[in-house]
Amino acid sequence: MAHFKLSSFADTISHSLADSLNPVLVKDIRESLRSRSLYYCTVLVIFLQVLLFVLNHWSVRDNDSVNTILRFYLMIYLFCAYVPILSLSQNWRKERCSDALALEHTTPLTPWQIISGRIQAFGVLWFTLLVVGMPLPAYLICQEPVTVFSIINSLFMFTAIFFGISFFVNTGGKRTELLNILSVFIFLIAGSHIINAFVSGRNFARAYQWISEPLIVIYFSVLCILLAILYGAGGFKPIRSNRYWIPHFALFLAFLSVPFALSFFVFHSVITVETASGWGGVFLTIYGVIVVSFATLANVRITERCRLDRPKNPLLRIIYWLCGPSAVARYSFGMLLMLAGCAIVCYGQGVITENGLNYDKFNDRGLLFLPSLVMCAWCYSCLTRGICSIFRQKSLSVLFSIIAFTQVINVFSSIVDGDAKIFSLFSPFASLFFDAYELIIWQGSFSLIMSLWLIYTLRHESRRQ
Amino acid sequence: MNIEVCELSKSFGDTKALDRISFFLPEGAIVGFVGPNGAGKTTAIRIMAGLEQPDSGKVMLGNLNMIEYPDQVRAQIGFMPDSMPDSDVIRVWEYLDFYARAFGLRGQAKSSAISRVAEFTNLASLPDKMLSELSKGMKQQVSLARVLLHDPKILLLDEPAAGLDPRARIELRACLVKLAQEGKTIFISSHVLSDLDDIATGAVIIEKGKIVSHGKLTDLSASAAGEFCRIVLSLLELNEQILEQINGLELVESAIKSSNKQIMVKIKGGTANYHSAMVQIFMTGLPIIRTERPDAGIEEIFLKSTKGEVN
Ligand SMILES: Nc1ncnc2c1ncn2[C@@H]1O[C@H](COP(=O)(O)OP(=O)(O)OP(=O)(O)O)[C@@H](O)[C@H]1O
Ligand SMILES: [Mg+2]
Repeated sequence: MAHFKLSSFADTISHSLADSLNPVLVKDIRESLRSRSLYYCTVLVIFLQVLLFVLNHWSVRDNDSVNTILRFYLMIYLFCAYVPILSLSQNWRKERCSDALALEHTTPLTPWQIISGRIQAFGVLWFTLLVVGMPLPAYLICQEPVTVFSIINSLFMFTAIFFGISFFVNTGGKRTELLNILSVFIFLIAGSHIINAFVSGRNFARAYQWISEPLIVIYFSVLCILLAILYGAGGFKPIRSNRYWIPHFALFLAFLSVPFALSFFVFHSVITVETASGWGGVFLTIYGVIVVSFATLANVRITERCRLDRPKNPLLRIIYWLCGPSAVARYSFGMLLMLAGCAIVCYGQGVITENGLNYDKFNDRGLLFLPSLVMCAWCYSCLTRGICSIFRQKSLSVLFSIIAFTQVINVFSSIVDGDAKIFSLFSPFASLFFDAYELIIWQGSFSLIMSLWLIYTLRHESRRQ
Repeated sequence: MNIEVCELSKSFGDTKALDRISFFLPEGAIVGFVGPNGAGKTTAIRIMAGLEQPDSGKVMLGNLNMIEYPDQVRAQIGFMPDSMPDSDVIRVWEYLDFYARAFGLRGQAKSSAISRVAEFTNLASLPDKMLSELSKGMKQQVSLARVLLHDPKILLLDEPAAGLDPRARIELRACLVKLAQEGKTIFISSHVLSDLDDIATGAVIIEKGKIVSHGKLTDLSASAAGEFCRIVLSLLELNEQILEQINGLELVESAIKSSNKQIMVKIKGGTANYHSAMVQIFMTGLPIIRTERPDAGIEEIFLKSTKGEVN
């Protein structure tokens, strides 16, 4: 009986979806409506809210009990919201792994329409879940002298990161069991973090300069969601179709550079002082790892595609020589190298923070210089290589390579140089604006080396296409 | 519209899936695309459907290179992959509705297109089923219906008959013939060669990424028959002795029992010896009631042209 009603409800909505909507959005909405977990979770969340509302109304109201109720509620709510998100991402994964996604590319739908349809679908589902889950926290918080807006904002942002990551993981891989285990881990770690941040530090937004944290969180969440969706839409390779992974990948790169540039704007303008120590440093390092992983993966894919077995780029050459013809070995080795670099950077930052070393001294910075230089070089060479093989037009290759160049140099100059200002968005010229003598020397020489490398790689790699 | 494939090459790593293949599909023809497993059929069809970028070569649709301008030919091409639609959360009509929307059909045009293809492929009773509830043959029907939604001029079908029972095959064949009569060009890859025999007007035979022969079926079968002269004898009764007797004849290379009362005789030296061989056979005085000289079908052309090697 219940089943019958649910499916007829889904059918009713399914029939009434307007013609003007993006077809991919329509399809994803239909698929989500058929997932029974969505209904069960919605009902559970609503029921729980009513129950806790009643409980809260009749019990003695102090801060502790409100916190307990919130904690309990959020735990269940997050889980309930997680399940439908998971099922949507699994649908996408199935589509990517079967031929369904490739088949969509034989229609006049452009890759961008497919991607944007998915972004919309994700947005609709996530927003619905958020709206359904909000009344109780909003009510509880209204009783206190905290702005509702800041709380909703923070829950909004944290769930964005959390869902984004889990989406990314779940659309990316192929093996269901492994992904399920991984998502449980993500859920436990991210979920508990969200609850804690929300309940115990509810006014965290005021504790820090209020602009800094939410903005960082926003940027990273937008980033995560975009990465997730682009990957789900076949970011790297909508399997078995080499023609359509290129537009996806180009879009992916373009998207990658925009939020990264923005997040750097935030980093540099807001938390420059904390950049090299504490959370700022950790964020930057994670960011570095993400950039490097994508670059490395791109490189391997492109090598496979173009069968460029003897790269001109000396660093790549060393790696190819060490690892032989296996793309997996190359990738693993590159990643290992990067992780080692990151470990050293983290350690260096730890030492600097612990001992209260003087960050302005060149020697202390030098500790981080070498590993970050290696990471930077590798990352950059990979990106350039990828970019050159994506675009037939040289001008586009040059443009994107320059973007990649400024991005890469940003990451690592920020790791090394604690107080790089927003000028370093335009790194090659940034040093001109600083009085600091050392900064001019090292950023200048860095820029010079990179420029030479750019020219060198472009000449040799793009010629092969 | 004519399709011309020129010098198409495609490698996956060290595997040369396609090695400079060229062929021509005339308008309104049903052309079979046959070859052993791993010969490169799917790869070629996917390139023609605009899903895969070849290493080199062109696919010309009229005057347009489909490789460079895939977006401009989408509306004219219907591609049916070798995988079947499957989902436990999508109903048949929703599946068709999605693709109709994707092809830009809206409102009345969309619903009439959906009912047109549903009628054509006998889906009328199925629209509310989930895709995963369908049998293989029904999925194939849905897949065919999807291909026909936007009324394409060219159909690229990758093994549409795989896994179908004889009845479903006959129905599929009838559908294809009807479509060809409407003037559609149909390029159909298949393992089940007998399916193509009656309906195909031409064949492209591929092995290890190379075209071994292509052209009109009549030409191909004539050339295959030339070296492969065979006769089917129907007898009143058939036993081992008779078989041995025929096998013992001078001009007979081999004689095998092809059915209860039929013998397939292969003549030494091909067509040139046909008459002398017939004389020898009738001289035996066996109770022959009928003789037949079958055309070489796709199956034979295929067996003859390929060596069964896979790269
Ligand atoms: N995505 C791919 N990656 C690597 N190799 C591939 C890929 N697709 C096809 N191949 C290889 O290309 C060759 C041709 O494959 P293809 O699928 O085109 O054959 P086919 O003629 O369709 O075979 P079948 O009759 O079994 O469907 C095979 O050797 C196969 O291993
Ligand atoms: Mg195949």
